Amino acid sequence: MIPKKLKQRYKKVIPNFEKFLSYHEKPQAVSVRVNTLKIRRQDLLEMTKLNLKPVSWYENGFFVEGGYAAKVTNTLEYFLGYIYLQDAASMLPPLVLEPSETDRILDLTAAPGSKTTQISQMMNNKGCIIANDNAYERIKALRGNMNKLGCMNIAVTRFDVRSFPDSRFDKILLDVPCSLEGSMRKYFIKWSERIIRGFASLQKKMISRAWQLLNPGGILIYSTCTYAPEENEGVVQFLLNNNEDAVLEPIKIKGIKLHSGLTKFRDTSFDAELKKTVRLYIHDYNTSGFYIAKIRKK
Amino acid sequence: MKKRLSRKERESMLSYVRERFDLGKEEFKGLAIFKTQKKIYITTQECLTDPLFAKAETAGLAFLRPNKVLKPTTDFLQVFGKHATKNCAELSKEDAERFMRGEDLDAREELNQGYIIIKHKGHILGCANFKEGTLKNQLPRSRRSRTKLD
Ligand SMILES: C[S@@+](CC[C@H](N)C(=O)[O-])C[C@H]1O[C@@H](n2cnc3c(N)ncnc32)[C@H](O)[C@@H]1O
Repeated sequence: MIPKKLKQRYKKVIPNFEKFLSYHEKPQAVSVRVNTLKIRRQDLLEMTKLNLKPVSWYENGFFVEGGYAAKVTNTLEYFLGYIYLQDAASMLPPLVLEPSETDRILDLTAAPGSKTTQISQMMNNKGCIIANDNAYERIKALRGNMNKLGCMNIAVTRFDVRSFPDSRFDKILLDVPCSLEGSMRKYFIKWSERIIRGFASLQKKMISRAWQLLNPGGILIYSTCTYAPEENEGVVQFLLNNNEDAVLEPIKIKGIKLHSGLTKFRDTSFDAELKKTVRLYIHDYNTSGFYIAKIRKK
Repeated sequence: MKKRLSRKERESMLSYVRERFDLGKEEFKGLAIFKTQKKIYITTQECLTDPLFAKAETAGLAFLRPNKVLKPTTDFLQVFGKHATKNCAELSKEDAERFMRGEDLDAREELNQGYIIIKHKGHILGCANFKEGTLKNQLPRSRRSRTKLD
């Protein structure tokens, strides 16, 4: 299941490597987010028969014990849009973004809207989120989720990130398309180093445009669900090299231990600053793997 | 094409939901309404006045469909319907399961002709159109479900 080349790449990079490999045989934990736009967390907990265990880093996230997705989707609470199936690691980027009710937010690659709808509830259905994606079918899924979850503070646009119209935002989320190494248990993926290089080149163009759309003092969150340093530290380093006004901010989230970003991969070195970015592996909490960087514009 | 509503149009929509379901204006404070050819949407003032709104494909929640009689969407009722006190029907477990599957139901109580908010144990399942003794199911295909209740 795991390509041999992939194992070679990460043997020295991913801590506790044997455990990491063994987790590929294990089903990923099923988790849900309570949609507080429709029900209070406490009322949901009283109503549901699902065996829920808190996600330690987000009050509205819960692991479903003994869970498989169909068990969740066959419940009344799911039908009503009181809960939404979402990987617990994918709840992290909105937490790093820290949206508030008065923010104007841009989610550049939003579909199908797991993170956008989470941001919407963190803003109590107030303010405005511009949710963008360029894939028509995926935008349909985004619209379906907004409607089912009752989100009123989202406007949907369909642009290629690289030519997103001029505008300025204080907070931007760029959750890029990637080689999906951290989601291999969920999706059947085609993997090769060539594919990684292809994504890295696209991501560099995307992050450059995102940077132009950010106000001075603003925050850009860059995230992937892959391990490839070319798509993670490499893309952030590229941004830092080309923009003197870009500074990395440390990421601290209560209830979760994250690994520091890399400063070296094979014969490429990254600034020590890149340690401020974070990595999460599947064997840490049995979620997807993730990478997140928080970048402030001076 | 997205179009803002005139004050008169907005008033007539809000008075429709007030008269039909007793949903007061206060529920719509800070919210904006706009229409496309097919639907009427409800969103925040901030989205409606955003510089990118004109370029957006859509915004907010589907609110009403401009049929002969304005039809409230399932999505709208599930958010706002909890404040409704008029034209609601509470279903038994068996009927609620049938409703979620998308079936029409025979009404078990006296109801006014027109759109009815369908509830089970206080949760809003969606909307039905009451006509000649039958509750015609208005649940969109994509939302139907074989959920078993207990
Ligand atoms: C990782 S997914 C986003 C997941 C989403 N943030 C969520 O939480 O549900 C990446 C998205 O980027 C979109 N995408 C890929 N290339 C793009 C481009 N050039 N411009 C805009 N969107 C793009 C894809 O359609 C896909 O929906």
